Amino acid sequence: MKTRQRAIGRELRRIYEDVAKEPVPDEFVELLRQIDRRGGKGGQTDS
Amino acid sequence: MTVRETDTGNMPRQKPQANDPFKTDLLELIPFLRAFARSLCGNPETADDLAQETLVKAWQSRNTFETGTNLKAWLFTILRNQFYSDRRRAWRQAPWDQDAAERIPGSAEEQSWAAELSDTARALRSLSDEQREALILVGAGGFSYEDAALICNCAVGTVKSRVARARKSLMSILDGEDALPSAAQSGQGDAADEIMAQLDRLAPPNEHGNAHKRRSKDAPSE
Repeated sequence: MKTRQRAIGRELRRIYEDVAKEPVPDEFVELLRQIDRRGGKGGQTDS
Repeated sequence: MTVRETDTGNMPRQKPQANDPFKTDLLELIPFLRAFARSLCGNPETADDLAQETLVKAWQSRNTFETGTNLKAWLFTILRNQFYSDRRRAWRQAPWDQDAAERIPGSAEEQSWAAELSDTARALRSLSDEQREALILVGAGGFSYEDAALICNCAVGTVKSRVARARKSLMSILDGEDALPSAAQSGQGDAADEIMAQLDRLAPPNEHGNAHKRRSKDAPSE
């Protein structure tokens, strides 16, 4: 039983860490770049 | 998701530094924002939308973050508030707001996606939101009970009892699926004890009931 309980604990962490280990999608980096530029221009759009 | 024009009104006026430390920290924490969002939403696409909304809100509110305090917990608080805010909006506006509606656990969208999950991941989806978020923050995210209480805006003792109940529920769901009734019956008490012992090793216990008093006022609620 205890082995199985530890396995469930590990599985919980794996579920979370699997997502955290995924490469960050480009759209996130692009979003930060975009809001950074907008902030730097005092709220003007850059399109 | 797109950044709305009206969002730019609250932007900080100062010119960002080339190597803005706040931005660098945000970038580093994106993977964890995605992981927490996924655990709340289930659906990967709506989870990423939620994580992106969180980044925008965090950027807008960056002046209210106290340097030196826990940025990860601050971000998770924003993300969680956004999740529940979107869902309240979905309840009021359904079926017009499809994005927010898809964040409701148990929606058709999520159920079709959940078919690909492991047994434990699927069992996790059937917990209540409160139990699931507490278990993920403490059991997987590595937060102390106290930080989890700050993020969830409740007392430390409440987090502890939610985590304990989440562990018990998870075990009984998995025991049911494994069709081992005798082992499940005789081992249930030990299972809960062992799980709590494991969690206590991960997160040192704190005094009950103090967290809400120390809750950060900095995290925007909307």
